[in-house]
Amino acid sequence: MNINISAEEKSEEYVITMNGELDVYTAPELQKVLDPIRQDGTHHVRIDVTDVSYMDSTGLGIFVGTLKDLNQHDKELRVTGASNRILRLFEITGLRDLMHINESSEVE
Amino acid sequence: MTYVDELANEYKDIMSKYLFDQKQDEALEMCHTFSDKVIQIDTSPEEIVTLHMDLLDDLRVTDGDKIRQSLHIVQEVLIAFGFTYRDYKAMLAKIEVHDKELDVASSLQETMLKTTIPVLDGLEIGAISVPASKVSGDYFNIINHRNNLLSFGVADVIGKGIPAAIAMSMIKFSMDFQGATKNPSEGLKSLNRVVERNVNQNMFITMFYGLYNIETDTLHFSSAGHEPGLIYRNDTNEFEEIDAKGIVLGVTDSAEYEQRQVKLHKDDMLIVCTDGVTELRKHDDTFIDLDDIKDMIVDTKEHHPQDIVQYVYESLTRMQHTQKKDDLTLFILKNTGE
Repeated sequence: MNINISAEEKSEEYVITMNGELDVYTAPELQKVLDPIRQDGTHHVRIDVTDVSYMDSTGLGIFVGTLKDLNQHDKELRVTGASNRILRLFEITGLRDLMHINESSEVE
Repeated sequence: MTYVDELANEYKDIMSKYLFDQKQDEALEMCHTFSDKVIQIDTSPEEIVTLHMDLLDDLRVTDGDKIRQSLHIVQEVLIAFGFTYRDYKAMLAKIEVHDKELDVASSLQETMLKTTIPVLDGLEIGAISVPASKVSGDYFNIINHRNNLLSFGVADVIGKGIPAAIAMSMIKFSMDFQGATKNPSEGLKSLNRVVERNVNQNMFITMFYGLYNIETDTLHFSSAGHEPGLIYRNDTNEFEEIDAKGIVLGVTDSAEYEQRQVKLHKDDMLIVCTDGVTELRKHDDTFIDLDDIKDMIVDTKEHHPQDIVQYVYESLTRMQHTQKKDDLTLFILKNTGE
């Protein structure tokens, strides 16, 4: 299973869009895209998971690492378009309270 | 014309340029792109030599000098194979180091981190934990405090290999040292502080931490972002979901963990598992239905929990998508006393 990932810089935030399954096999690809953004720490990050059909805990690990890096630079991580199944994952793990999930307000 | 035929023609072109058209430099340059293409389709060096011999016949090259000259072309093409072979050897060496690391992590799990399931009056315990590959990310630990108190933890470490095995030792030793002196909520809180300082950025741990009082039949539990547990009620034949609020270990140092309690009556069961069970992918790529797992438990409820977990595991293995396996852990505690 493959995943397509694109990153777009929009003034103060990077918007990452994905299409496919985010799991132990595809997570390294997302990691590769996010690494320079995480290290720079100059932008907020929004990850759009509308077209992500499945996500496992390894995928969630990338969100955790990104959040920790961004918080060190006082930047935020937002997740949009989470399906009920993905939302459940954020809820059970308690991460929903730390990341902005499916909030409509835009950081512009 | 097939791609292989095209490549054979390309080689013929290179030979002609080199031997007959006096365009040696151009021909040698063409050898580089040619070797890239043949390596791409996994051609072997002996196939190149065979092609070369066939072309010598085809182009009617019989003169000894010409044949010797033509060997420069084979040499040029095979240089790239040499590079690829050296890359391959380097990769093999890396894999070997990686395999050794996995062996260390795996033997650590099999020896130091191994838990024995205690045999107690009034309480039966069954547990199974099967890794998807050599090193597991799942872990369970049970400690019998011998004063009617039993603590246990079921954890899923996200992140594999040696860091995962180290994280598991942190869980084990902190549970062993804290023993029954700490409640699950405090246990998770201090464990979180240790884990938060030590794990890689992407790594985190989900954990269900329970303390069971055999005298009062009461389970005290907290959860660090773990899958909710299930209580099977024997008198109503129904399942209740139990959960306590708390974030996964290793994300923030200021985490607090809710602690709750629930009473188990005779023949009630507590079931805790990892997402390898609840998120199991079936052959047709769909997810397992939790009701199917509940049915398996009800069907075997008269048996010892160790037989139940074994039965559920074997049933799940048959249903599981072979390419999309995850570590799988199932823990069942049954109150057999009055």
